[in-house]
Amino acid sequence: MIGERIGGRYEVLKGIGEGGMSKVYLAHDIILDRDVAIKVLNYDFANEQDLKKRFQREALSATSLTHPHIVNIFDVGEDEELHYLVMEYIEGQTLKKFIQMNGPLQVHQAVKIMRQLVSAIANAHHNGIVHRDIKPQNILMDAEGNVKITDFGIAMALSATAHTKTNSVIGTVHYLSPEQARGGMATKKSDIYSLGIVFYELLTGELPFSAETAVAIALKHLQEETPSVRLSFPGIPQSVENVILKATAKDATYRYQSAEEMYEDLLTVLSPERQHEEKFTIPFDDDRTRVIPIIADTSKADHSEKTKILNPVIPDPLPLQQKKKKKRKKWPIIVGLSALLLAIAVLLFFYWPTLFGPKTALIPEVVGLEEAEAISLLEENGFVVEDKIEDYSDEYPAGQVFRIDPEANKKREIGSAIIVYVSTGKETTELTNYVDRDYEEIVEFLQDRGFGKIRPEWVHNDAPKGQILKQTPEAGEKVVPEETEIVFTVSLGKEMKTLADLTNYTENELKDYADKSHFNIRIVNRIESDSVKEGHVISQKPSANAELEKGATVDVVISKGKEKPPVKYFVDTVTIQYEPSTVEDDEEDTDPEPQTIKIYIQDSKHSMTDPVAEFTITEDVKREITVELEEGQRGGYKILRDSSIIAEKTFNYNDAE
Amino acid sequence: MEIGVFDKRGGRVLRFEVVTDIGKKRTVNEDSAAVFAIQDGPTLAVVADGMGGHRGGDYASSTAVRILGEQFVKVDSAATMDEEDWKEWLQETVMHVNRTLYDVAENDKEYKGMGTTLDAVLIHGDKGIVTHVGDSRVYTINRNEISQITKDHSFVNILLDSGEITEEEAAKHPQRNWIMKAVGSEKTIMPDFYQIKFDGQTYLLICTDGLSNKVDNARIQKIVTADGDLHDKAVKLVELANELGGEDNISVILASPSTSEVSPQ
Repeated sequence: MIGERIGGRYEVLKGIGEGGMSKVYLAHDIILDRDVAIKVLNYDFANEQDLKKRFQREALSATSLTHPHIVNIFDVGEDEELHYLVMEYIEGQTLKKFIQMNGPLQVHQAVKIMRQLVSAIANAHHNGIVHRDIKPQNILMDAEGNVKITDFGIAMALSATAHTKTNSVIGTVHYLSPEQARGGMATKKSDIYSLGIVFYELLTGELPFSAETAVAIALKHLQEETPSVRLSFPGIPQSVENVILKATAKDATYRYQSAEEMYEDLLTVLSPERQHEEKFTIPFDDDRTRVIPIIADTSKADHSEKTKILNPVIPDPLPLQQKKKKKRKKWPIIVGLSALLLAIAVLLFFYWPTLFGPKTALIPEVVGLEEAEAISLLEENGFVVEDKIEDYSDEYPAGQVFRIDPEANKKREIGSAIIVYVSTGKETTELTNYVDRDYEEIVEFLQDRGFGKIRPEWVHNDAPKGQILKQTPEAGEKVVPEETEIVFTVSLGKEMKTLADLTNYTENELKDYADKSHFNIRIVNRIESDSVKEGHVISQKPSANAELEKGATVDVVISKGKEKPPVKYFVDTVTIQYEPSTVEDDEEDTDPEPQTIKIYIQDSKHSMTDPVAEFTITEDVKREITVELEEGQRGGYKILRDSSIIAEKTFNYNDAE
Repeated sequence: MEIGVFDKRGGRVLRFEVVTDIGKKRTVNEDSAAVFAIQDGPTLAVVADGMGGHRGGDYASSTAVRILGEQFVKVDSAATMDEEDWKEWLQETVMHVNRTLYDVAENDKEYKGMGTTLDAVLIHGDKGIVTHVGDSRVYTINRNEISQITKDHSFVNILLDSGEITEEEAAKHPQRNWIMKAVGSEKTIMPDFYQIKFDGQTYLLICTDGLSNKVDNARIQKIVTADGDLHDKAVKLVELANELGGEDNISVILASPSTSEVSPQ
């Protein structure tokens, strides 16, 4: 698996985890150039179409969840036999491991983790998704100590197979709600139960119910009350223990009505006035609709300073007032006591001006205010800004508060914690490097991710057509997709030109055309042609109108003119006679006087202007005269002796046979 | 497959039919079943339903049946062994099978997490010793009643026993395929033992959950005690499980009492 590519884009780098039915790998998404975690299911879905559909449905529904404390699912896919989920890669460890190394945790640390978890589950529930298998093994923790929940609905979707399972693959039942142990449907309240067990484990480093076998553990979930965390850790406030007891009530009716309610409880659970709260018990009441948690009605201290005030010396004012009423008859004692109380009251009033003021206040609207402004307004109203979360907001510019939790205009106890979400502006996406990639592919990819304005600038280039040569903005820039115009310089490929019809071009014209077109024109042959005049182009390769790259070679063939009919030869053998002069003939033994002979030929090679041969003779000589005639020519020869013509003949090409 | 078991006088005591079927949904038959007989000695009928690992389920069940059979036919003092001896032999052999499978699972990733149910019935004269691990079942059946001899080592059965869930809840429980004990999945194992006695009217049925999850007791009883050929009955049980879904492998060993369908030697 390592080194393989899944789904054509995820390169598997290494294994990072293994579960009963899946393996998790670190992989690199080569398209988005980022690391992802890939969960590959170790399951053969052949013949189990229903299960496969169920798994895919669950996984896809989980992709809709976006929350800072939920692991993002990017993709659900199958590659031949492989079924996999592509998730956000969290560098860190599971919460289970963290607890094993660091448990038990400090109360405030455990509460902080729980707030994150419960807010995530509240978000999922709000979207109609029940996790069904919340456990620290399914919770990841990053280097900053923030947690993210993963595996929504998936583990349970898979466990629905008919395959028999032994202890070794059953998976944990430590977090299983009683109704799930009983085989019932997992509900939102089952998630709340599991969250309660996780809280227990965070605070104690141990599991509330343990036994050797899964079934023994399940039975304890069904039968035994959740043990008290305060028994082993008396320092844990009762209010904190109450969260566990309420979340893990056997009867789901008595649990928190929603994760939202649990979350809001967690927001104030550490406020000092709640630390002496009574222990949560299941109300003994036949009428289940009247289930009201018992939370002591105590007065609240205002926190005008940012630090939390924990002052155990301050008595609860309310019980004191009640006492006063009851003991009204006993004046003598009461007077002194009242005076003391008054003194305390005055003292309290001095330091905590709103002590006797309203116990609750409306949360002011601060959304849209600058962060500092919002915080001071909340604090003026007596609330404590407990956490500040920075996140993207499409509506509010960076620096402004875009959400608070609980919402504005809700009535909350003074001193209760409020989480302020500060906008970091619109969600940005970091651009990766798209140079060298295919333009069409990247456009589609970016459009899917919200980039609306993508513009190509086409240029001719040696790179293949469609390849991106340059991008603006550059890789690494963080941009808001909707607002960003991306300009890609894209290769058109090499510049193409249409080749002209070169037929009948002369060599000079070819030269001009070559200069103009930048084609490399080569004369590869010269042949005879009946139709094309000599010196003109007969044919070309490639043919006219071909689209050619600049600088491409074009081969042409040039005409040598018409094919000539054969030359004909006329051959005459002539005897050139020596004719002595008749004037003086007395001396017999005188040498014969030489006579000058000139032969003239008119044919394709010679003209009559100059003799082709000139010689002297003193006796008769035989000569062979050849007249070479081309088609249509006329020609002949002439022999002169001294200055008189002694032989003459004309020929016509057409005379020959 | 049909096997006849003979008593020392040569009279036929029990006849066996063994049917194992892949079912309609699975790609592998992870069940194994077989009957082994020693001349003039007892007979051993074994059913195993393997699970887990990549190919482990198949391997676990077939190995368990094979080892039991091999060890059984090697027993040389069969003639002198009494019931206690046989029980001890069964216990030791199951523990040996467990250790063998566990070691393979520990050392080979392909087999990690494997295990198997194991139900073996040793028939010795008119007595039977049942050894049991997991959720395969042994029944005795006659016209009056069908009794399940073995108790499932399953998650839901324990919840049912403890009164936490009802029969109806157990039948629909999503974790009804969880078993708490399997041969090969833990370092040590202690099988359950039961004793049964045969009379001339009682059938013996050993089956995997592929049958018992699909076909209710009343229908099993009706098919088994009806008139007809033993082989047809075994096949009918498997067919019915398949008709009702056949999601799992189905294995059946059915033994008929001596008095029915006896053909004189």
